[in-house]
Amino acid sequence: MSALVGEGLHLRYGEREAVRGVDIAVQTGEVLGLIGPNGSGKTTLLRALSGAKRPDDGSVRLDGRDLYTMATAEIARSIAVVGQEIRLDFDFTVGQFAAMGRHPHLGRFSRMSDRDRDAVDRALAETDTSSLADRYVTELSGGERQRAAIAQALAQEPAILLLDEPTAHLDLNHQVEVLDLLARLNRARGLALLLVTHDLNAAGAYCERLLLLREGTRLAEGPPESVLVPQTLRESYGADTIVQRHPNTGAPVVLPAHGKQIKE
Amino acid sequence: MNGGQSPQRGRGLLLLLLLCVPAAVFLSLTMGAVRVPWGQWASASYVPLTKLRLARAVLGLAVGASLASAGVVFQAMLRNPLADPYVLGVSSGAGLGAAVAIILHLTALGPWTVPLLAFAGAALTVALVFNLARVGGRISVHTLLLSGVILSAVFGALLMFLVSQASSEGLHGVTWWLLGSLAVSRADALFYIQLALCAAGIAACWSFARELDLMTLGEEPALHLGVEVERVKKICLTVASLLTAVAVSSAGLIGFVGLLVPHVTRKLVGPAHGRLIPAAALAGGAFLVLADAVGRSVIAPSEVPIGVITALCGGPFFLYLLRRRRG
Amino acid sequence: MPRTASITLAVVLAALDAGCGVASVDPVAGTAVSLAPNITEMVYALGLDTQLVGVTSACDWPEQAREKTVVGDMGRPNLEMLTELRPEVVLCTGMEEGEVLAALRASGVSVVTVPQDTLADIYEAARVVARALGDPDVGTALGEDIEKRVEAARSVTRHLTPDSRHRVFGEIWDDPLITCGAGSFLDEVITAAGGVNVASTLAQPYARIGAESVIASAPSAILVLHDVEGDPLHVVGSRLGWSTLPAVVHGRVYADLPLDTITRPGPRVAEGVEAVSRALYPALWEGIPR
Repeated sequence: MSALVGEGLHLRYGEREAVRGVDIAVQTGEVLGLIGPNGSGKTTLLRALSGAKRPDDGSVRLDGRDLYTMATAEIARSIAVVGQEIRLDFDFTVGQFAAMGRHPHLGRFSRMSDRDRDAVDRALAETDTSSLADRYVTELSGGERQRAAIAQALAQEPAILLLDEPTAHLDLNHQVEVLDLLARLNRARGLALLLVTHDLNAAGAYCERLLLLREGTRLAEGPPESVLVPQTLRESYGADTIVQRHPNTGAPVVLPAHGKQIKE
Repeated sequence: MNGGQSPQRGRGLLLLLLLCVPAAVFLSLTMGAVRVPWGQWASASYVPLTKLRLARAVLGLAVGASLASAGVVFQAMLRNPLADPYVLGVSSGAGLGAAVAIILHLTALGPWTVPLLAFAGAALTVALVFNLARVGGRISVHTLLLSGVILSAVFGALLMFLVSQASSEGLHGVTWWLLGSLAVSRADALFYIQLALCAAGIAACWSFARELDLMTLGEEPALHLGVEVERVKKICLTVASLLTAVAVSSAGLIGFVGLLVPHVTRKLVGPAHGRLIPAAALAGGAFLVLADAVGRSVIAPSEVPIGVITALCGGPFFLYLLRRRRG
Repeated sequence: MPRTASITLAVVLAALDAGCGVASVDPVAGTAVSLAPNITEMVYALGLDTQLVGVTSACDWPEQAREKTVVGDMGRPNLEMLTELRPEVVLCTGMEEGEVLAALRASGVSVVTVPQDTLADIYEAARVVARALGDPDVGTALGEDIEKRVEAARSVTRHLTPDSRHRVFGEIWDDPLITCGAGSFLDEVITAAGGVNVASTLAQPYARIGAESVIASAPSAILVLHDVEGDPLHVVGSRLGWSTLPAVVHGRVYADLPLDTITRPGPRVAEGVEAVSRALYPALWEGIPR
């Protein structure tokens, strides 16, 4: 059972401080949402937790071990990342693309074993991309590409999945598809999820806990109902909002307080 | 379902390429200023010719395979299907080294002087380029490319200066070196060392096949998939550069092989490097052997420099690619 | 036009006139510069070397030639030095930089191209140089003399049938292999020496040849016309595929020839022809004094 904990994290890009003294913890099997306006440091924080950007101050620990002393392959066996942009310049098949997720489990000269192949098959099945296995990744639609990326991450058999804006470029139906998939994975595999998103309603509906950032510091943390309140949202986003309850799910739904003025 | 195994598309072609190599070699033993009848290569009257052509063919296989493999690696590391092994300026450094040896009539190491100085020039370029691109322990690919362009310009200028001061023999020597040649006058220790280094370099590139696959996704995605990105970058780029250096110092500047062959092979066998690298190596070797055979035959008793033949193949091919993209 | 403006204009024009143009000064009568070693040799052979005021860095025969002023490397004369010497005549090969020759002509210097492509050209060259230096009779005499000596050397092997002549490969450079093709001066030297040039089918006078073609032509004698390090027979014979060539098998690889007399289209060409002929047919030359 693992937990990914960041303590007192400070991260800079040159002179600009992106993250200032943030504590964050992803517990085993939980779904944590990381929200906040653009430039609040969400992606930077995610990169610190994934091992991609060493913090200038503070520590990141995976199951108590300092992440930045671990080999990248070891990290990749526990943590998988689905990034915002998925660059595909070469035409691998979806099957080959997903199989890349097994790399952290393979030695330099070892071939894929049956165990590895099963892990990939399972990942394709769970993301409903088995039928796409022989298609070229360069020919996929946005939603298919996203699912393929998740399949690759699942093939790593991680304990924790970090996702950066997983629904950003997707149509409504695909958004729901992907989020439902993630929820299912969380339940079925006990996969912990850290979701960076600017979709507040998705965050409210799917996450157990939210962490709200503003200008690199933690503004609020807790269950969605306690974080998604107009007061807090005005402080962070500078916008007036109304928060209601979803008629079916009961999850908080954030609406802008003012719309187009109806001409009288 | 077979767990994401690479598709059948490449397997048959790889076998075909494997057969192309001996076919190309036998063809090149037959073709040339004198036509040796098929199968007669070992008969007493043709033995000297066969020895000569066989040595050229072997060198051609090694150099063609090296340039093609290096090209594959550069295209993966730079995430650009149109990168070629000369992009970091290795060719300019080698050219300058060779020019220094030829024009200044340096013979301290006998017939080994030119190739060794060419290699030294190439290695120096690689070291300089890497040093310029190193920023706090990390190598910036962008800066690497820029440094390559700058060094190419500087070495090119020095080369032109040397050429302007050269005697007519020096000019001849440098010109023909720059056009590339698979001529082997001696199958001596250096020849075998060059072959061994090429084989070792290609094998090293191949061993990084999976990492190269992952690097095509980008440096950060590769990192997240467990690749030691900085280490892999340093090793792969260094090995590919040195492989290019050995190829260029053995046979002069032969262009287009490192660009054309990887590109075409990728279209045929797919981008997975486990298959792409051996396929490109085989295709590059066979291509160069055939190009040399043609160069030795069309205007015999004179020879068309091999660099000219590869350029004549490459140019129209890229025109064709360009038109296909538009249409 | 106002007076000051016209004076200024006159001054400017005069300055331009003085600054431009190479030599608006008169050349020194009877002086000449040679732009190639073979031409220098010809001048000395004609006995007209007192008129020679400039040579190239490659002009090394006779010894006294080295004491003359050097105006540049062969093929690359220095225009400024030529201007300073102010010769009346410049003797060139025609292969020098076109602009330099054009500038010399424009400044009133007599630029004379000395023929040098064939043996016949050499006999003619004697006359051309002598005429340019003001003593045509000496040229005619020298030309005839050189021709006589070359023909004398040729006569030693004249009786040989085509089959009994050596097939000669003349190696001008080794990397890349360069040889003498049809129309080259060396081709004629080899023929005059009694040999058959294996590269005579090559169209260019100085042509690159593939090693294969050399092997295929099976030369029975090889003339190494450049410097080699070590034993020439070994250097040539150890090349891949060359060990079975008749020239190598019978040890007929000649590198210690007087290259200057063989490769320079000058007055010593008869010595060159004789040297090559003696190397190829020692038996035929036995007893004949040099």
